[in-house]
Amino acid sequence: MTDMDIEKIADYFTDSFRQVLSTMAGFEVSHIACEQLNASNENPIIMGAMVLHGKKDAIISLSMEKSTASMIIAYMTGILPQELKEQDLFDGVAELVNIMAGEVKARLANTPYHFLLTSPFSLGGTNFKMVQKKNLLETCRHLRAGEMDITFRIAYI
Amino acid sequence: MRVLSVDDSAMVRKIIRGAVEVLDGDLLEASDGIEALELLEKQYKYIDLILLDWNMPRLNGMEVLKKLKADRRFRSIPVMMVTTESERQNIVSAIQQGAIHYLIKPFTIEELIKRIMECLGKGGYKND
Amino acid sequence: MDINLYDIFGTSVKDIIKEMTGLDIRGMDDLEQEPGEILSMGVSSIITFAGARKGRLLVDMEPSLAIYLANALLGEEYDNIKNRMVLATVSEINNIVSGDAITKLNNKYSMGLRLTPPIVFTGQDVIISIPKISSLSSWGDTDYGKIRINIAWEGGNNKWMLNTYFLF
Repeated sequence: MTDMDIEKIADYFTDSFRQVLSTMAGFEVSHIACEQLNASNENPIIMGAMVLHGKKDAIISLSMEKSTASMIIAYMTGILPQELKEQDLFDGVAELVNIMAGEVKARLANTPYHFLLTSPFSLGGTNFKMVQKKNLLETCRHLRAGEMDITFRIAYI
Repeated sequence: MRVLSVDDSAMVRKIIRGAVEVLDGDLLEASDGIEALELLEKQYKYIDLILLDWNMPRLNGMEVLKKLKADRRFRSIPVMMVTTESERQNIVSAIQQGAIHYLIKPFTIEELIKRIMECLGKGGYKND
Repeated sequence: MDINLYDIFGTSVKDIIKEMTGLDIRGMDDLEQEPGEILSMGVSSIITFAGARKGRLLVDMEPSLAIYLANALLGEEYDNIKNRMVLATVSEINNIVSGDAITKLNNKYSMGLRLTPPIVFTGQDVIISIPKISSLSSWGDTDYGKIRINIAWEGGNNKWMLNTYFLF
């Protein structure tokens, strides 16, 4: 796998995420370069993640502030943000990762990067820091929908 | 009209609930295949359509579909797969196993409503 | 449910930590069902494994224990839980524990399991939400803080699993 490959695959995920948010929540998403890899944040963060099993395994994640998750899930379900429980947000962000990965899985079928989905999981907290093994081939995308920021990361292992 | 949604994501079940309510229907929910089969044991006579996810813990959607079609009591209930699995071979496999429709996530609420209506027409709408 | 798929991890974590740092873990003898959400004690590491079945090990510990383990293993005097080396130590311990446990499972049941490298995270009041999946936790205590392991195995057969030789 080369840097070019991972950037292309990251773009597939970005395209997929854009399609998910556009189709299911009516949000238009733009993306900009992501420079800061191990970002921490003082605001409550929710991160949905999934391990992808393939010839080369990978970890993908979507991180966003809790308020952003709340807004996205509200638009997707038609339920007011204040009526959503914390568990709804964890579940919703995990499902976003699941839907996004499903589309890319089909797109990468019959390529060396084909993968199997695993159960997504969510993490939430404040002043959050996640570390993966060093020297991974990794990249990220900073996604923006209106005033909401979302970070997508992928790391091949 | 009564629809059973089998999906491990509460968010997806909420979206489906919204669509079923637009159609003035009732929604029953199961968060995995085992729960779905337990619910069907008691209520299969009153269920008009099953919306079935593929990747679920404990018993996945394809396993559920095979069990449904192998059971005389359940086999006439139409099943639509609602899943992220969008590879052609999976779609073919589900249709071969007896699913009458296959809706790939992400979907719009309008698309979901349209497919539910199609399923009820195609699978035989049992009016309560 | 085969209890061997779960309790082997408790044995491995006790053996590995004792072997690497000389630290005894008390308890970790019972397995308890966890609810959907797990509140982290401070530092958590998740590793997944796949083969005949898919599973996941979460190792969760108090910050004081993570710092002790890093200092004992690396011969340094770290005092900040967010130090990359402290987090990397927790990650590596999870890797070694999982490697030990899945080797035993592979030998015993021919499960063909392999690991993905772990991720490790820390933060304030971190909640880990694991989808509805059979998961059991085992708790232990040390002179430097508490430790918990949580093991989850995905159930059900999928077509990928049907092509394997998993027999029990």
